[in-house]
Amino acid sequence: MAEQPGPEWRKPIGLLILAGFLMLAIAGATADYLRRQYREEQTKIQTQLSSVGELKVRQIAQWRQERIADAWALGQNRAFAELFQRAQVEKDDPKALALLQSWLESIWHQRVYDRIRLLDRDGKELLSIPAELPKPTPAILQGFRAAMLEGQPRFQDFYRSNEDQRVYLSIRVPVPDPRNPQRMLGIAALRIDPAQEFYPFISRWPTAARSAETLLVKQEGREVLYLNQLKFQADAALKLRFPLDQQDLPAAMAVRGQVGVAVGRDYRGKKVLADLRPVPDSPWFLVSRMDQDEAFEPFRQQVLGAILLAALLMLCTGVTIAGLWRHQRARYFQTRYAQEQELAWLRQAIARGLNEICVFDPHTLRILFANDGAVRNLGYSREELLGMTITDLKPTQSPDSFQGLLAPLAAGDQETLVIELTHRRKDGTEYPVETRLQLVDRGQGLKVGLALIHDLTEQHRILDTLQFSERKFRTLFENLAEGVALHELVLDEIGSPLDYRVLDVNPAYRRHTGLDLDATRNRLGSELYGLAPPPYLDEFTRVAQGGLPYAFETYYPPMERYFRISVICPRPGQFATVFEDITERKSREEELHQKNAEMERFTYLVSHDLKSPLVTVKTFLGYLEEDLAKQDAERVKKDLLYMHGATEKMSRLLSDLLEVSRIGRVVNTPVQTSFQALAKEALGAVAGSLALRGVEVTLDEVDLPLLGDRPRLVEVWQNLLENAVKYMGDQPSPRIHVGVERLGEHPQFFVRDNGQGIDSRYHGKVFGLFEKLDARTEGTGLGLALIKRIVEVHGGTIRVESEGAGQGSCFLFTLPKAVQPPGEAP
Amino acid sequence: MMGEAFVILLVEDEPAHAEIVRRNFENFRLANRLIHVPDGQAALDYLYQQGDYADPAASPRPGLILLDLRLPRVDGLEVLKAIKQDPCLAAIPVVVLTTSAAETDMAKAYEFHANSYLVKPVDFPQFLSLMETCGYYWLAWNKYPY
Repeated sequence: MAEQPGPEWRKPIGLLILAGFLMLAIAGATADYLRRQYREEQTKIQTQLSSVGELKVRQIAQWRQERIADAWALGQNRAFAELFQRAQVEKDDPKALALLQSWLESIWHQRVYDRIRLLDRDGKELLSIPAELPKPTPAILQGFRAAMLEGQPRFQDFYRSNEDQRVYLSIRVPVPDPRNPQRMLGIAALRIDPAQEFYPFISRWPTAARSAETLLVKQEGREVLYLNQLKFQADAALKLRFPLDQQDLPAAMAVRGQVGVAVGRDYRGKKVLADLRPVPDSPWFLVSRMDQDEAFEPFRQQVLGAILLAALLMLCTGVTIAGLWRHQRARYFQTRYAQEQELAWLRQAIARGLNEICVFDPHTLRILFANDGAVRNLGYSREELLGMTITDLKPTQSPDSFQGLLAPLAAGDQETLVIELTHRRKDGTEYPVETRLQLVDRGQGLKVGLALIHDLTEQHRILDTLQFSERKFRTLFENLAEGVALHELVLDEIGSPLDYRVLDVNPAYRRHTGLDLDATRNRLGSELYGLAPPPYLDEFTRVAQGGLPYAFETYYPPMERYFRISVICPRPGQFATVFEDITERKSREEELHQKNAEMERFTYLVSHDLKSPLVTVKTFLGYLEEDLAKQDAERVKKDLLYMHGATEKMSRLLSDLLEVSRIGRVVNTPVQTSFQALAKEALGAVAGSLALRGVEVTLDEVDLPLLGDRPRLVEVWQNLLENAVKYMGDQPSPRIHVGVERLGEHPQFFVRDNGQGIDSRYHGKVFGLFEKLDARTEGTGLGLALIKRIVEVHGGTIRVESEGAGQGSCFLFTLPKAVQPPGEAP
Repeated sequence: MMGEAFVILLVEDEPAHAEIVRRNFENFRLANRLIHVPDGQAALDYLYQQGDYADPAASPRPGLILLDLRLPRVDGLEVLKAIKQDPCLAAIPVVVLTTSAAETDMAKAYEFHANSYLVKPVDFPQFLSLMETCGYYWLAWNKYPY
C-alpha cells in the first residue's frame, strides 16, 4: 500500500521575487536620492568655497594696493621729503624732526604698521616709531639700500625677523630729494606685523566651519611656501614647505596654476576641498580649503538617515514577506495535517473494512497484507493468511494460471482486471467473489499486487430472485390475453411531448392489432398508427409524466373496434398500455341498451294503454250506479257499451302484448320455404276481408327460396294485407299488389295498395308501438310494430312509401337472413 | 264573454274518456260549449280553422284546451308545442289531461309551457271531483283578458 504523499512544500518563489523587487526598489530609490543630494551638496560647498576664495582674494589684493598706495603717498609727498631734508641737513632741527615724528605717528596710529623707521641714505636712523628700536640688521640695511637704488617704493614680502623670529612684511619707501628727484635722501621703512591684522583677516571664515581655513602660499624655488599661520600647525608661516610637484597638495596645485575648486590632500594629509586662485599683482596664491569630512558632514548625516530609513523599509518588507511566508507554510502544514488525518482514516477504513483487501507479491504471490474483511470472510487468522499465497484462497486458480491473469497488468496493457472467481474459506466452503486486481507502485520500482475482493453471494441471490421474477413477469407478459405495449415518450427540444416510441409488445398485442413485432418495435407511434400526433398522446403523456394509472374505453376508427386501454407508468417518461378488445362487449352493451330503452318505452306504453280502459271502466261503473239509481235506461245502456268497449280493448291489448313479447324470444325452427308459399298462405288467411271489400289482388309470379321462421314470416304479409284492407278508405276499385324486386344488395319485398295512403309526416311513426293514425280504427296500434320486429329479427328493414293521403301506400322490406345466397338452395 | 258560452276544446282519442268529460261539463252550472276532436292533427286543424274545421262559425276560438298526450297522427306534446310556439295561440290555457303519470311526460309538458297537468284518476268520485274543480278553476276563478 503506497502511501500517497501530499504535495511538496514549494518555496513561494513569487514572494521571494516580490521581496527582492521591493528591496531593490528601496535601495535604488535611496541611492538615487543620495546621489542627487550629493551633487547638490557638492555644488553648495564648491559655491561656498569659491565665493570665500574670491572674496578673500579681492580683499587681499585691495589690502596690498592700499599698502602700496600708502607707500606712494609718502614717497611722492614733497612736504615729507622737505621735512626729511630739513631734519637731515639741519641737524638737530628739532622742529622738522618733531613734524616728521608726528607725521609718521599719525600713520602708525592707523595700526597697520607696527614699526616705522626713517633712515638716511647712509643707514643712520633719523627716528623710529616706537622709539629706541634696535639697529637694523645688515641684511635689512642691504634691502634699504637696494630700495633706495631703485628709487621706488617696494613691497617687502614675508620675511622672518632675526630679532624676534617672527614673520613680518614691510614697505620701503625711498624719499627723493625734492630738488633732485633722482637722488634719494633716505628711506622710510614701514613694517607690518601680519599677526596683528593680516593673519586674523586671512584666517577669518564667513561661516561657522571647524576645518575651513585660508592659506596664502607662494612659490619658492621648487617648493611651495606657506605664508600665513595655520590653524592646525603652529608656527608654520614661512617654515612649512612642500615640493611643488606634490600632486594632490592643493597649495602646490594653486602654485602650478590651477584655478577653481579641487580635491586634494592638505599639509596634514587629510582629504580637503579647496578653492585655488592667485592673488593679483602678487606672487601669492590663495587656497581656501575645508576638510571634506566636514564639508560632507550634513550629507553624511543625510546618507545615514536615508540608509536607516531604507533599512527600516527593507526590514518592514522583510517582516511582511516573512509573515506571508510563515502563513503559507502554516497553511500548507495545516492542509498537510488534514490530509494526513484523512489518509489515516482511509487507512483505518481499508484495514477495518469488511470487503476483502489483500496485498500480495506479484512474483511469489505471497500475501503481504490482509485486512479485517479478509480475515473475517475467509476464517483464517491474519498470521495464517500472511503465510499463504493468494492462490491458496482461490481453488480454481493455480499459481501459473493466476500469473497468466496478471500478465496484462504486468505488461502494462491494462490498469485493472476484474474477474469473477471463487474463494475458499478455511472451513472449505466456497463463495463467489468479484476480484479487482491492480499492480500498485510501491516505490523504488517495486510493484505489489492489490486485490479488492467483493463477496457476490448476496448479489447472486438477488440476481437469482430477479431472474425468477423477470421470468415470471415475462411469462405473464407473453401469455396475457390483453395486448401489452411498452412505450417511451418522445419529447421535442423544449420538453413537450411530440410522439412516443414502441419499446416492446407482447404476442397478444400483435394478435389484436395484426401488427408484426418487427413492424412495431422502435417505431414511432405516429408512423405505426399513421396519425400525427399519434393516438391518445395527451392521455399517455399525462400518465408517463404524472404517474397515476389511467384507464379508458375508446373506439378506434381505423380498426373499427372498441378497446379498453389501461395505462401505467413503469418509470418516468415511459408508459405501458394494456388493452383489451371490447368490441364484442360493446356491441352487446349497445344491444342491451337498445333493448332497455325499448323495454322502458314498452312498459310506459303498456301502463298508459292499459290504464286508459281501466279509467273508462271504473268511471262508467260510477255513472252506471248513478244511472241505475235514476232509472235512466238510455244512459245505462250507453254506460255498459263504453265499459264493454273498454274491456274489449284491454283483452286485445293483452293478447297483442303477448304476441310482441314472443317475437325474438320464441323462435320456431327455421324451415325451407319460398316467397310464393308465404304470400299465398297470407292471402288465404285474409281472403275473407279481401273479398268483403272487393279487393283485386295481384301476386307477382317470381319466386324466391327462403329459409326462416315460417309462421312469423306469414304474419308479416298477413298483417300488411290486413292493414291495406283496413286503410283502403273509400277507394271504389281497391287493388293490392304483392311482389318482390331485386334492387340493390338484397331482394326487396313489397305490398302496394291504392288505399287512403299515409301522410309523409307519419311515415316514421307508423311502425311505433301502439301507434295508430286514426283513433276511430280498430286495433291496438301494434300491428306494424310487430311486422317491424319480425323483419328486424331476420336482419331486414322496413319502410313505407306514399305519395300522401288518397294516393295509396307501399310497404317495402328486406329479409337478408331468410334469403339464401344463390346456389345454396338445396 | 258572459253572453256567449265559454268554448272548451277537448282533444281526446278515447271516446269513452271524451264522454266522461262531456258529461261533467254538460251538467256544469256555468255555460260552456265543449268541442271534441279525436286526434292531434284534428286539434291543429280546428285551431287553425282548416281541413274539416274550415268554417270559422263552426270552430270558434277556445278559451281552454283540454289535451290528452297519447294521440294518433300528431302526438299531444307536439300539439302543445305548436300552440305555445304560435303567438296567436300561446295565450290559450292548455290543461294536459292524461292517464300518464310518467315524470318524463310531465317534464316535457311543462317544458312546452303547459298551463296545468292533470292525471285522470282511476277512482270515479275523484274523477268527478277533479272535473268539477278544474271547471270551477278555469271557468269561474281564472281571469282572462278577453
